[in-house]
Amino acid sequence: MSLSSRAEPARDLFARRLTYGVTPALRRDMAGYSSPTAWVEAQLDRAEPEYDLAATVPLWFVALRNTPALAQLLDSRGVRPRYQVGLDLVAQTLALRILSRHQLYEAMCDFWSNLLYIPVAEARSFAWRADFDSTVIRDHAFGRFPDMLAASVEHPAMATYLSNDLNAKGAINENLGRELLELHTVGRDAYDESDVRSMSRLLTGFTVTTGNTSQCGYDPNRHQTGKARVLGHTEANQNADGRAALARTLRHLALHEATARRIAQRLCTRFLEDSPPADLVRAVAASYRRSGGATAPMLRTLVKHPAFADARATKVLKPGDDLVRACRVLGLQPSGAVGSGAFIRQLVLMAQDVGQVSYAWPAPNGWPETDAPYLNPTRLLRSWEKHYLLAAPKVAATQQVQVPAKATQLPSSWPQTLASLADHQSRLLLGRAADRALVQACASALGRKANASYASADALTDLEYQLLRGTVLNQPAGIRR
Amino acid sequence: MTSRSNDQSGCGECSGYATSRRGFLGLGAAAGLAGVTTTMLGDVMTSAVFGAAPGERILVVLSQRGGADGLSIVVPHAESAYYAARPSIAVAKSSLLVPDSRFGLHPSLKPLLPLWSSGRMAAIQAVGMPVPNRSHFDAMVELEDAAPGSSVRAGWLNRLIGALEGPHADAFSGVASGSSLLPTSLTGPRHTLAMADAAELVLPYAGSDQAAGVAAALRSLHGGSDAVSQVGREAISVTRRGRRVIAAASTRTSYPNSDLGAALKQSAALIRADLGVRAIAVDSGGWDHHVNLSSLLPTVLGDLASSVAAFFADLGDLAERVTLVTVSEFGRRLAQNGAHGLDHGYGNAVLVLGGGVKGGYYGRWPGLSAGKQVDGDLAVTTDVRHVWGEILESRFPAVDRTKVLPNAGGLRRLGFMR
Repeated sequence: MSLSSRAEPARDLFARRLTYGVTPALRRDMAGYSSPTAWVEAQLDRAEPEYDLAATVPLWFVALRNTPALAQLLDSRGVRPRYQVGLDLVAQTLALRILSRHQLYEAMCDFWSNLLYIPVAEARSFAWRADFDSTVIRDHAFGRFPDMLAASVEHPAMATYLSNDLNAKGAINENLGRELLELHTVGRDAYDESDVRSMSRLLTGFTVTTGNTSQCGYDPNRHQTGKARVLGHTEANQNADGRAALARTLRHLALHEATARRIAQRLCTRFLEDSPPADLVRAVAASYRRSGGATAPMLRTLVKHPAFADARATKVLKPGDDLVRACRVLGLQPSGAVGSGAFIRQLVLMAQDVGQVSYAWPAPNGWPETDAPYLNPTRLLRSWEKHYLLAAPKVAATQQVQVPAKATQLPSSWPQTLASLADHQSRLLLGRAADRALVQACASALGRKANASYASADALTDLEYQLLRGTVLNQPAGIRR
Repeated sequence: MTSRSNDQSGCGECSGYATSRRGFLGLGAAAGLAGVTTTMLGDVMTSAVFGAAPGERILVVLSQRGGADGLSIVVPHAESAYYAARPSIAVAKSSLLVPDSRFGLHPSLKPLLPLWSSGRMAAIQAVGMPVPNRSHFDAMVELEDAAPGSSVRAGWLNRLIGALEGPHADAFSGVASGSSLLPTSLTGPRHTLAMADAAELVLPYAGSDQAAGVAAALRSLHGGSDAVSQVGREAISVTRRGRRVIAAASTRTSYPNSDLGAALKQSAALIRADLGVRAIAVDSGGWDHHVNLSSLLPTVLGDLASSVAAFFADLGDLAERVTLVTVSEFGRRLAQNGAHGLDHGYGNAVLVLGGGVKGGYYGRWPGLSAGKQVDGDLAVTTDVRHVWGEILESRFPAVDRTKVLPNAGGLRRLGFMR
């Protein structure tokens, strides 16, 4: 780890880069492996059994398994409006990010969801959105992107969201054809308008009817035949059933070097920094192409590259991810989702309030992957407030959440000074020693001197405990990964 | 939990991109956990003067996200090609407002007629970027960056604030109203503010016994030179002024119950509060009409018209200081597609309203016959940067236009500004 500017243990660095927040349980898990890369392999295998509480999460949201037809009926009758369906998927996702042992898997589900992006609660696609999450994203998150892309194109959620069900012979609709090139595969600089037209032609024929299917139908009468050339790949496209020609074209696009570069760039930006070193991106892209578009080799190349070990590389947490991390490090464990008072549902509202809810970005390009859009005064004000809120020993007015007892979060030996408590909390929550500014800040927040002495855990009032932990999270480093 | 989303059309993507980053799923202000900022009383009101002197001119840029169809908004009713290409979705000539020999306005713009009649509204056709870009995302960035060839990531409104305010610029000089994320136009070296709701501009524990201690703590934590610390100091500074925006919000003017209505209502309050704002960006979503244009467009266009009309009515005597210009990343195809909608196109219409405007129809109309189209789209005869440049020259004559909008060439005026 020669590039490391500080002596941060490799294990901590892996944990903060690849997970939603470093917890004691995660540290214990990692300690069971001979090296951080061995832990990564176990994460890729999902070898460890899921934690009990995390395993129950899908049971909290059984209505997400309603058939599309039922979901549409309930929406149209106002019984269960589509925004409720959307809230459920968001809440389920946040719960898994907080609770799951398979942190790298959750991170990759997030990554791919933001690439093949479909918002929840969107009018035409909402009834299929949870199935898309399950059968397109989750089934392929550790698999191969060409398979995920093929599944995405044929899924009714994508077809309805980008109006490909309305794209037919004599009635071309370019919506999916264009975004498939620009957003899902090769990117803006690689294609031109004739590629869009060819792609749109190849995409004709799919149908979606209200019903219980989780795959598009296909009507050869709606397929536009005729030669199509996309990024140098030519199809005669003479068959009334164009699906084989489409499949070959999609595979060409998925494995195109522009796609490899683009996915590698996004992956390195997601896990490392906004301007990842070019040689790292090249190496990750090469792994992608060599493996036929597989996820695991990209991640292996990423974590073994020297740039990954450079502790200076860092990201601003997206506001919603920041809440998830706060829950994890503070030890807050949602335990159910019954009623609007359930903590996990309140957490979705908090994410709304900080301005970043997973799957609620309104356009098909997904949430920005770079830091700049998330770094403005209003965001900080909202995040600061939420940190204090979540740091309360009794999270006000919410249910179905396990909150660790105060004594378990404080040193075992007493007395302690305010300064030593600040240092203890900073190491516990953020894995870093308290600096002078933090000690000063904690003293200001609590209205005590830094050398004020506390004889026992009970001597620290609930309010002081909340102010102490919230202030620790409000360090500038506290909104960075 | 009343729905205020832009997606009430019964048709999703086709209704286009919702505007609000916060108006998720139609939820209003988070009812969430009992907040630590439930009150804003007790914090000391500052009387310090920030930013620009009172009475300065202000530019409002209203972005129609998704690619608005300008040919449905400023309708070229004299073109037979327009009606031929759109058998089911053309706007009937008989329904047009204030037609002249070439153009007429879509009937949904009716709320703006008082502004039109008083000569304070210009409609400009065939505007766009010099080269077609039919990608939503790329086009938006290119448009709002507006500095081709520059490697500095700075939006044109960020540069405008720098030119207007110099070292006096502060976060309130440039505000994205109604959004919690900054648009590209406001991003750059000057710190600007994304303000979904002015009620957000408050420190934790404000109004409680902990307020002073926590404020001091946050100041201690953000004394450094790193990016987060710099923004943190700006955040602490803006809280002293947020309540002035809230206090200045109109209780009389009736705005549409929409994201755009809320964003413009807050914009009027921001102007009235006299905090030195010079540039405001607001978003209107729902313009990506790939299907069923005729049933979807009137809703978003009507919302735009009602919101903008309310905005100028709300401003009252201040309206003369404010110029509003609409912009969209591209126009739409001339010919309708198979779903009674329109795919991505090129040339577009722009509306300019308010202070300094000389009302009427403008533009170098290229025509719509086959030889005049660009790849099936309305051609662009006026670079959008020249529309903005004409506004800048008229309203902000001290600003060097070529610094704000570099490499746009010599200004070709259309004469829509006094």
